[in-house]
Amino acid sequence: MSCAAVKTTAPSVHSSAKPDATVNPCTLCAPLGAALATAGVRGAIPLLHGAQGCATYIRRYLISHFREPMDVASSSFGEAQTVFGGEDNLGRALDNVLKQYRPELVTVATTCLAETIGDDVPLLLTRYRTRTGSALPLVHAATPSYKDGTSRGSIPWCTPWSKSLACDQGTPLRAVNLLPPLVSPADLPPPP
Amino acid sequence: MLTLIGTGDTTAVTPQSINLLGDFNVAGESWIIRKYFEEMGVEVVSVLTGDGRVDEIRRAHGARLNVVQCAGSMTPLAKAMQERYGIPFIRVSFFGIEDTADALYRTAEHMNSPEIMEGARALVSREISRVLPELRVCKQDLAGKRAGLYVGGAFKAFSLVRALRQLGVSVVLAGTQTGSKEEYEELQAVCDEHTVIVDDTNPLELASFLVEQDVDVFIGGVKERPIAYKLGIGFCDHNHERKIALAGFDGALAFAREVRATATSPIWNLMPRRMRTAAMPMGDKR
Repeated sequence: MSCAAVKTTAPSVHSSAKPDATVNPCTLCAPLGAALATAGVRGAIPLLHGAQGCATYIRRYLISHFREPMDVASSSFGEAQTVFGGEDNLGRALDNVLKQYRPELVTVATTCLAETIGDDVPLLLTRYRTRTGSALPLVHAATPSYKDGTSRGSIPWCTPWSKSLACDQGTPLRAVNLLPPLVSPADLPPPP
Repeated sequence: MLTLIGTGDTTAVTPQSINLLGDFNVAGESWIIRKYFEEMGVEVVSVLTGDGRVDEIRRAHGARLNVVQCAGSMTPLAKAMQERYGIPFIRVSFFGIEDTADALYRTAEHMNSPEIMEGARALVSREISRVLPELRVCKQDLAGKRAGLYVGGAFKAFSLVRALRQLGVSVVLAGTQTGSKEEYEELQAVCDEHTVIVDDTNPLELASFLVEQDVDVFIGGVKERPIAYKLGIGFCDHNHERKIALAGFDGALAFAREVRATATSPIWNLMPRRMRTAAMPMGDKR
């Protein structure tokens, strides 16, 4: 194709109140929120319980957003897991992630598929802990996208996170926890 | 698709006609390929699906041959059209000058027309003599470079191996997300003896093989770019988000330019693992 065929127009200035660009375009995927929240913790890795495409899509989205390698693990459902449940796959996924990444924390977020078939992830995680004796924090986030979107996807993550990790330390500190919705690193000031 | 195909009037479709299956007009590639066929005297009835029109798809059953590029997505449709309408299909690739020429010649063979074959010959020889001088320059600069590739489908991988070999680049790591057992056997056959072949890999495995195999240029999708850059390796993307076409003869040139630019970039000499060898001009490259 010759370049002469490409029609060029001068850039126009838009002044309408409604922006032309899409802001936060992906608002409907709840596990994305859980993955994003997990990405903000050093040594933490998200594992999506469901089919591979969910993890691929979220990786692709986060990699383009941060321009950094971002890893999202998957329990990689096939037809059999969709019918009979994904316990074995989840166990194998956790084994692999623990062996290869040596994480300090794993978030197990459910995809729509795992939610719909009704996999009892808290129970599966308890069984995994019993079976392997692993003391690693495994945080479950129930994130069906037909219930909530990306921003809220981080909230179910944060709630069980505080539930499973926080313990009573007596006198409260004069400090707050910051649990922000969907923000970019540019929204947060760098540490002093 | 099959609901739509067969519902249009094919009286105006010429006997020397094809459907292009599995080309998605990424960066205008369908237009490039369509132009080649039109020049040869072959009518492109429909492109499934890139820049498609409902009316064209309705008439697709009038074509003499189905030319299938993305085999993974379109072979079932090609087989169904063969069964229902008796249209034969061929698997082709328009990536690299060898594969493009092969695709045009094989299509011409099916048209059973000396004029079309002559047209294909004229087009291929003109285009190759046009792009070859610059491809030779790229080849000179790329001598001894090592490539890794990780793509979606296996047919794309075969084409990439051939195109890189044409540029004098050896493929030391190759893999696909969706390849079947037979496709891996073929991939193994087109690769060298020492090429590492991976299937449905993960980022950790990929990163360790890239370093282990001392790759100079990595060809992959959107998700692989930051991995390559973090490791200090050149990168060329081969995916559906491209803005510069890689199909056909001009595409082969665009690919060669991109691979050359990224693989020979002096920035990689500043990476710790290269600085050691760059400081010793007499030493071995690795």
